[in-house]
Amino acid sequence: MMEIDPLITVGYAISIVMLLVGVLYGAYKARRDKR
Amino acid sequence: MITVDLLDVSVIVAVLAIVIVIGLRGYGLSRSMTGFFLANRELGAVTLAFSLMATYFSAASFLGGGGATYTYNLGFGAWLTAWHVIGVVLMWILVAERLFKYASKTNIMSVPDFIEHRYQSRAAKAVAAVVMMFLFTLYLTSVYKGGAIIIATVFNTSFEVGLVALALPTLVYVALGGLRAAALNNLVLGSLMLLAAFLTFGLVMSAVGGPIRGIEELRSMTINGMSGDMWLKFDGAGPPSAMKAGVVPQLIMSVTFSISVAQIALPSLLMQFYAAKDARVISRGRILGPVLVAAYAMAVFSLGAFCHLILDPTLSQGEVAKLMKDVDWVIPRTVGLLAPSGLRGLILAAPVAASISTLAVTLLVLSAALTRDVVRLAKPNASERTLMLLARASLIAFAVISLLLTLVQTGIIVDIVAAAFGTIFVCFLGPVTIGLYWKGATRTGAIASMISGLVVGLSWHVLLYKATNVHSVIPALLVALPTFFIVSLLTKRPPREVLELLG
Repeated sequence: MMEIDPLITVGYAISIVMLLVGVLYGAYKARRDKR
Repeated sequence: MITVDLLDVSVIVAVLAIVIVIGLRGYGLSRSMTGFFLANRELGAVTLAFSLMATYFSAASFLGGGGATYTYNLGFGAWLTAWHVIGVVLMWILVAERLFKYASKTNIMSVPDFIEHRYQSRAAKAVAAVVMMFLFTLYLTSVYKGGAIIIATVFNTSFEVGLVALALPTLVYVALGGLRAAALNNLVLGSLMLLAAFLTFGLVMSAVGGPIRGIEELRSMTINGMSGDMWLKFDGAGPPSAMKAGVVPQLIMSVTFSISVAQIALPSLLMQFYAAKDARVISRGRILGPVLVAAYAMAVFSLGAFCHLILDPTLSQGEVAKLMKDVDWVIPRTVGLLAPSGLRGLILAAPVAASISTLAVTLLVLSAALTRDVVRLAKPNASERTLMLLARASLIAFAVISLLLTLVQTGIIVDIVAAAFGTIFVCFLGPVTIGLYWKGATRTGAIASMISGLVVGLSWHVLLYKATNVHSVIPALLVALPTFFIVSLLTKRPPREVLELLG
């Protein structure tokens, strides 16, 4: 069983979540600006 | 150290040739100040997003960033990636649009230009220009170094020849083609960097049997007298001094934060937003920009730890210990072992590309600071032709000065980048990024913040960084930001018509 320190996992998780936030917000703003 | 063949060498020569050809094409469009420094304000979303990524990631991102977890535990890679993604998302969401709109309304061309207009202060502009010129010249030495060591190794020549081979093509294209050539080249070079990042990730992961198998193998290894398990603990592997003092987590967090979030206040990035063609470019770039930075960071920043599985069986214990002190060679040596001919050249061209792209835009920023900001302050009536001549000449002068400084530099690339790089971020975070939002910010606050950030950032790095294992950006921010707010609250605001431009 793989055991990685949770603080390392959190770092990777934040990367993915922040990327999603950035892309989704960007897409939302682009759609709103188009209107 | 790394065996390369004619095909590998040809690939790198081809990259250097391509950048010159693109530079020559940009010449016709770069005969005015706006053409030279801002590509006639005609950059599209894809070019802008790639250019920002390629400007931000120097060779240190591939060499120092990729190799860092050879010494540090995987927490360094995880948090370096996290802070990079946070930084790029904040830059595109908070800074890009506001700065673009301000630039469109005011015809400003550089970050000191923005500071002069925003704070109605020539003194603030002069301080900003001098701070930028000083810190970016220091920063360039590390950019040079990263690309030059790769060229010197591949061509089996001296470091000095590698430096010139890197500087000459860059100078030719950027002095002729300005930002237009730099941005187009950054599109090509940025694509190459991403491709090389994915190829390296693929090669390393297929060699270790994937990340999960790799982590299991890593755990069962003994590395430099330590259990491989130490690479899976946030307070585990790190530089010996930090491990001894029990401060590896603090060191990881302060270093990764400092070299990643600089994106939100780095003048060489912010200036490129002025060059966007229209608001739609910012709108589209907001989606693409973070994807590019995140993809590169995720592919590269955690590779070093896995390289133990590939490199260590081929090295003596002494060589492993030596490599752990100078991690810049971890990725090139791993690529040298794993990649076939041609592909190896393509991957090794990535740090060279990263150096060239960063070097080009940084030289433009330096030239703009001198020509637009300092000379125009002293001689407001100088003709456009004189200024253009000076712009190209000063660009060459800055390239030569930083090249000479590089020859007397030693140390790990990532550390040198961190000192000047982080301090630039500290100096401009208040006056530019916060100043875009906070109408209460004043010129005295901006000047006090830049000077205090510069003094604390550099002196901490020189005097206290090694003793405390706390990166200089943290104490510098803790001084520069309160200074910015307190002094601003106590001094007079700019006129209302200027503040209305902030939206």
